[in-house]
Amino acid sequence: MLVKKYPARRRTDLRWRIAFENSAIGVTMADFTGRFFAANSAFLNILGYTESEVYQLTFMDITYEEDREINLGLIQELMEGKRQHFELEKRYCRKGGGLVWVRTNVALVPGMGGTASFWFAIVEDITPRKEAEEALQVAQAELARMSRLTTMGELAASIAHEVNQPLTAITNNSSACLRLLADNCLSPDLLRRVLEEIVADSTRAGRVIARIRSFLKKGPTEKNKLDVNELILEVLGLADRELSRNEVLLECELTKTLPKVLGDRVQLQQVLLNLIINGIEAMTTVTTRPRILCVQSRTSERGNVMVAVCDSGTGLGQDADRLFDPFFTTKANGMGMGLSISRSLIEGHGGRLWATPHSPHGAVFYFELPAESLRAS
Amino acid sequence: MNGPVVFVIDDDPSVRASLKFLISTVGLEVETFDSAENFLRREPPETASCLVLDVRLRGLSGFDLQRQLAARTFTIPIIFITGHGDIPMSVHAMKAGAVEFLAKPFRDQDLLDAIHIALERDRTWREEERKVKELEARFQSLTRREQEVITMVVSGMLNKQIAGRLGTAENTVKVHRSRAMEKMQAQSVADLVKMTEKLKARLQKAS
Repeated sequence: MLVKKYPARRRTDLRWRIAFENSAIGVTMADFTGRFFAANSAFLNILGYTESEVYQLTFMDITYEEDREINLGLIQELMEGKRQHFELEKRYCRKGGGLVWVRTNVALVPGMGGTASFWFAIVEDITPRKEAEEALQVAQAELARMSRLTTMGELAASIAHEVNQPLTAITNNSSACLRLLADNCLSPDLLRRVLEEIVADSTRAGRVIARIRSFLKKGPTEKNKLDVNELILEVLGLADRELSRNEVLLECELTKTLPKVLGDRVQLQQVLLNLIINGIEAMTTVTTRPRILCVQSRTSERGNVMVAVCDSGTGLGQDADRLFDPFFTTKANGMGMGLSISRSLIEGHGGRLWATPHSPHGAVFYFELPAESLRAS
Repeated sequence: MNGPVVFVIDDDPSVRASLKFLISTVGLEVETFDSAENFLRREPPETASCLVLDVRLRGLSGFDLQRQLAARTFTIPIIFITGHGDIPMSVHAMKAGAVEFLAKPFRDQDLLDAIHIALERDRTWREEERKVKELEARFQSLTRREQEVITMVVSGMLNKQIAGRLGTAENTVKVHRSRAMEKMQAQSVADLVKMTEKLKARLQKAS
């Protein structure tokens, strides 16, 4: 065998060399500036570069932009002697584009004798695991969203029942009084007693509404930094089928340099979806002009984020000022809670929601959310 | 207590009280219950009556009660009221024989109209019931032989055939037959056929 031809020391070197070359895990070395000078084929496979190409690069060159800062921080700690080595899960940019998730284990090998100190890294491709994790996260987020939407639905059903009971009693009592009055049979005593009951039932209905309001205000408001444009595109994705089913033309005018807002992704999605669906439904009877739904985002004069959802539908009519009242609806199957809940949600975010007529046809619904930067100051 | 009665079952005290008040304005007697169970403890009423029944109740639901009453052959017209009704629910209720299915809150006139129809339906049922019971009593007053004879008459047999079957003279059959017709107060064979149909329907219903 080959090995026999070499002296012991060289045999060990050769074994290391063979192990290095054949390792299933990427192994690489870089000089103090970060430039690679040794890389095994597993490492080259992860990146898609040839050996000579890789030697033109430093590890910072191939590290994904968002992961560089944390990577540099750890390198700094190694150089300052705060650590012996570090482990980091990060993304590399592959040759020709595309990202790959890797777990790196990096050590600084001190210089000895004539050799300069160098970086030694073991690199494992963990993309499949990361993809599974991401899929899981997406699934969990979707589950959370669904369960909260369900809670909303259940909330709506229980509101309907709880408000209906006192309402029924009020209607019955008032109708009975009107009947007796018509027959001249209503004594002041009886009237007083019934009116007292009506007041009690109205108060009860009011308490239900107050409870919903406080529920929505407290709400599950996990506040995250959100990109409203991203949110709009996500919701338009959800509404895509409704848009095409109703032959609605979508116009999207998003301002790119939009400040971030601090908010609950699901709640804001619900508001947007609600406005978009309302817009679509307002246009179902329109046949003589194009059905256009326009979604805009822009920065308001005060530096806040403003979103407008504009339709070419039947407009607000005479009921404009009642739109946001709970249980007010113009739809046959409507609960009349959508806009009322939406307004509460936006107000819960420190913003406001309002509507104006759109000329010549339709309506515009706006909401304004405080920019995250303004809020912090 | 001879006037009609309206039974109201709703677990909400204010709804219950307001219904009692509203229904009483048209001069009807009202009895209220907070649960289906409590209603079932009451003796079935002697006079025309109907039930105003909430779908969602603590314990037995309105639909449960509807099924139990049907199983007990306790026929009483039912008007359902509900705070969260949907179409499938109302179809279900109507198919099971409900008079009306009203979503809360409802117009007073809608409820009172439904009650009027329900009571009318119950009066008709009770009248039918009374007639059938009387027929039954008449039938029971017949002798065994007279019952045999008229059963054969309504099945279309001639006196001669009946006599042959029973092994008696045709004249004897004629005597049994005319006595039976008299006791049943039947004017004709056609009349008798109608009466026995009613009795049969009742027997089938009971079995």
